[in-house]
Amino acid sequence: MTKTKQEIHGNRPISPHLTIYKKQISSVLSIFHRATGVGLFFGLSALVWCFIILDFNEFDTKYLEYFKCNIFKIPFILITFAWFYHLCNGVRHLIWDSGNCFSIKAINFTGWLVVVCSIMMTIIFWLGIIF
Amino acid sequence: MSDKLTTDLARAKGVGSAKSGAKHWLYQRVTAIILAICSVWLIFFIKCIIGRDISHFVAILQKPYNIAIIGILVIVSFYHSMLGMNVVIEDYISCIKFRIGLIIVLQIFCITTIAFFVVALFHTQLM
Repeated sequence: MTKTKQEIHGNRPISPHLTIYKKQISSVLSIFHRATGVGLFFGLSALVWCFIILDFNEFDTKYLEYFKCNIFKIPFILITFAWFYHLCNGVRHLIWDSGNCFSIKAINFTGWLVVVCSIMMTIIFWLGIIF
Repeated sequence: MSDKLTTDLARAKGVGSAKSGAKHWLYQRVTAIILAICSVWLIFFIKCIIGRDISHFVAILQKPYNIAIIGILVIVSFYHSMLGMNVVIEDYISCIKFRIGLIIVLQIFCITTIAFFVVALFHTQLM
């Protein structure tokens, strides 16, 4: 039980062999779901702590000036894309959990649907905010 | 998990299953459904606050409906991401001591953030 992975397996390669593995829509979307989840955790933490610090300083204008910078729009666009992607793919996972859409055809179709939907939602969201 | 964090009785009974995996799975799904519903509200909320004055933002936050929904949204999000990050840490960090330490740090961070956020929300009401 106290043996490390290295002691048990030696230097043998460990599955999955990512370097020789053919990229498929299902596997790419799956790892991207996890990556966006981690990104959203850090993004949400940053946003919430910004709110807390601003709030405790009574929304002082001298702190608010920092957020007017255009460079802050880039992380915001990334966060909204991660949010919409995680939302769409999360709904897909919930459909799987209910026992539906398990055929290869359905998995590929819903996978591409998630990609298209999340990009469209991000574009529509930001257009909606600008105009 | 490490031997040292379990009781002698638990060790005598054997490793077995984690005994809490099903709850983890279920809570992850339930919070996911709540967040998916709240996301619709969040889209309109962001649309309302962006590009406006900060006093407008404070005025919106002072409405009881908004403060209730945003409170639920942030607390449920942190719970959902705590469960998610827990799985990520368990998957990618093979050193048991570091893994358990990081999970404890994660949980302390999430609870602290939620506590500070709730205090901040109430503080907004006093402005």
